[in-house]
This record gives sequence, structure tokens and C-alpha cells, in this order.
Amino acid sequence: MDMWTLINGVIYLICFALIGWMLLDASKVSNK
Amino acid sequence: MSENSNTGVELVKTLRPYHVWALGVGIVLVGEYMGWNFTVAKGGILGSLFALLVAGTMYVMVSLCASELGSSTKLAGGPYDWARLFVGPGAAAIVGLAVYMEYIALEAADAIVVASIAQSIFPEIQTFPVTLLVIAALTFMNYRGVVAALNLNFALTFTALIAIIAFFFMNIGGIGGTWHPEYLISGAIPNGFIGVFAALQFGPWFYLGIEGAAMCAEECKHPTRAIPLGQQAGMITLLLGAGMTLYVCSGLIPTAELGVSVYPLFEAANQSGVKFLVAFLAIGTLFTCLASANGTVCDSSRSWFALSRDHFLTNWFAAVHTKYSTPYRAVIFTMPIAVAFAYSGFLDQVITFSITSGLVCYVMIPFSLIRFRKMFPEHTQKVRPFVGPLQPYLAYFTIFLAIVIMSTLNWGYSYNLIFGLLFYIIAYFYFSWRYRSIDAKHDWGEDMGWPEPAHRK
Repeated sequence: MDMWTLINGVIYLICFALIGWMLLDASKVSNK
Repeated sequence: MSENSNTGVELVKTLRPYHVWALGVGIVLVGEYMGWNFTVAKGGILGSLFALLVAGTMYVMVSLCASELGSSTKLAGGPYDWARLFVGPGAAAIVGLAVYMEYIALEAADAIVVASIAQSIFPEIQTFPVTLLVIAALTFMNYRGVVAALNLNFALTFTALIAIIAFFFMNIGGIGGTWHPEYLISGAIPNGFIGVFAALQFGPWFYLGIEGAAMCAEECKHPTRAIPLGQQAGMITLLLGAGMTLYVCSGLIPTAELGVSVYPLFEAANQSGVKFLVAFLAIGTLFTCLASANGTVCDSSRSWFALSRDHFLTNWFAAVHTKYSTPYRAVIFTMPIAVAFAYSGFLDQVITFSITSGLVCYVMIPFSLIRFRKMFPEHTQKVRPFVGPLQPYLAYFTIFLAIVIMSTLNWGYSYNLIFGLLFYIIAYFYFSWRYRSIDAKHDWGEDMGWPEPAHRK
């Protein structure tokens, strides 16, 4: 695996982490 | 997730005039960095100047209307709320949807451009993950709180603006490249007067979205002062920025190249040969795209929130975050739509849809003001804290200019124009039907503590 494939993968991971955090938090707030 | 949860929580009121300025200018300044130069391709330098002046006149008047309406109503939906209060439910829903689509399409376009910049610097990087990252990161910022998001906007916008000002003054001072007056003569009017007229379709690029500054009224500490001040300061900034941009670019880049350039200001800096300017304008281009995308997330989510709060959409989107006081579901919902627009990758198509949506708003905002003046003729502090000059005559003239500019989309984008208008006509009938099924009627005049409307007396 070359470095740029890794970087592209890391960018996707960051995106999914941000989206995941928002969705988790939103569901927590909604259930309060 | 439970229906209607947290709908009793209010939006936090912390914003100041400079936040309003940052929101308005932040969304629009990207238009000085790119896109406006398509006016040059259509009508040459004269066409571009004509478009700058005509569109500028329209936007000054739209800003005056938006300042008066925004400072009076102090609601988060902006143009949507004005149309709902003073025109009617079908018109309001069209405007709310038009604002939403205008800003979402602009957000997608900004994210595409940031990804293209990243790929031009690092050719191995893929554009789609970067586009997704920009959209996700800015949605996250707006989810966490409007103050943090708009403070970020202020810093990004201010840096991008300083880059334009520094470029202009270094150029006229003789240390920012050689300015070529012969470029003006050779490329003044290449396609005749039809070209000059056709250039109007890209005129809105210089200012597209400035009316969004008034959309944070509900979150302002003192909206009666912050909205007119921030909005008008923003419009003055953009007029000066547009003039400076046209001046430096038209004298540094030959007209034929300027008309097709992707990043004209950055290319003009390249032509100047000054390394400091090249770096500064590259940073400015990147920052202005981020600021614009950030502002559009804020505005589009408020428009969606307002539509939902009035039951045009499911009330589920009207929830406010208990900790961050943001319309968090509406904010999150901007993301899939923006990603869908960005996934298409057709920048000019996305932007033309944004312009069409914007022009629908520029017809409806002054119309709302005309109705507002008719329904509430009193100039009291309670009803109308900011009184715009020469109204409602300016509002009539604004509608005329918006229709003229919309008609020029016929040259090159006739299908986009027809599709866009058809979309809003269908939306009108859908929302009118939906409104009839809503039981609750709003007595908004009473809600705001205003006197009886003139037509009821």
C-alpha cells in the first residue's frame, strides 16, 4: 500500500469519525 | 428518536455585528476569487464592469430590503420568514426551499473547489474524500455552535479580504506586477452589446448570498442594530472588493485567458511574479472557499429549521440541541444533500442552480418588503427599527433587475433555468397543499407584539 492510498484512507476515516460522532450525539440528545 | 423533542429550547442569542458581517461576506467573497470572470468570457471587460454595476445595484437594494425585514422580524428563517409573514404560505415555502438550495449548492461548489485546489497541490490525493472531509468538518463546526463557526468565518474571511486589498495596493504602488492598459482596449467588448447583456448572468457571482447575513437575526444579541450594520458593512466591503478584483485581474491577465480561468485572482498573482502575493492569494482562495462553505451550512440549516418549525416539513427537524443551542438535526441534514450535489462534480451546473435559486429569492425579498410596508405602514421602533430609504420604489426596481438578470440565463443555461423554475412551481403546489392540511394558524402579529395590520382595521 503506498503512502497516498493510506492518506486517502485516513481522510475517509476522519470523515466517518466526525459523522459518527454527530449522529451518536444527536441520538443521545433526542433520547433525553 | 422521539418526535418534537427539544423544540422548546431556543437558539442562543450571542452574535454581534461583526459576526453578521462575517457570515454575509464569508459566503460571498469566494465569488471575488473565482467565477465572476465568466462575465469577461461573455462580454469582455466592459461586460464585466456592466455586470458588476447592475448586479451591485440589485444587491445593494436587496440588502436594504433584507436589513429592514431582518431587523423587524428577528427570525432565523430570513427570506422564508418574511415571505411567510407578509406574502403567503406557498410563496414562503418556495423562498425557504430556494434559500436552502442556493446555499447547499454553493456549499457543494465550495467543497469541490477546495478539493480541486488540494489535488492541484498534491496530484495523488483523491478529490471525493477531500470534498467529503470539508463538508463533514464544517457540518461538525456548525453542529457544535454558531459562535465558534462564525468566529472561524470571521478569521478566514478577514484574511481572504486582506489578501485582495494587499494585492490591489501593491499593484497600484508598482510592486505587485506590471498592469497592462492595452488588455482593457483589446478585450473591451469582444462579443458586441449582446455579449455585454449576456454577461449579466454571471454578475451575481460578485455578491451571491449576501442576503444570508440577515438570517442569523434570531441568534443576535441586538438584532435591530446588528443586522442593518453588519449587512450594509458587508455590502460595502463586497462592492470595494469587486472593484479591486476587476481592476487587478483585467490589467494583469489577457482577456481571453481571464474569461476561462478557474482561479483568476490567484492567476493574476502568478502573473505579477511576486512570491509573497502568490502565497497570500493561494491561502486567500482556500480560506474564502472554506468560509463560504461554513456560512452556507449555517444559513441553509436555519432555512430548513424555519420550514420545519412552521410544519411545512416534518417537525422533527425543528429540534434545538440542549447543550449547543443549534438546530442540530437541520444542520446534520445539510450534509447528505451537499454530498449528493458535490458527487455530481459539475461545478457550473451546481452554481447555475444556486444562482437561479438566488434570483427567485431576489424577486421574493423585495416583494415581501412591499407587502410589509403596505400591511404595517407605521415607522415605530417596535415595528420597523431600521427604515430603508426610497422604499418601496427601490423594491420594485429590484424585482425588475432580478427578472432581467434571470432572463439572461437563457444564453447558455436555458435548460437549467426552465428546470429550476419548474422545480419551484411544483414546490409551490406541494407546499400549498401541505399548508391546507395544517390545523394550527399562526397569529404572528400578536406573537411579535405588533399593532393590528393595516388591512384588518
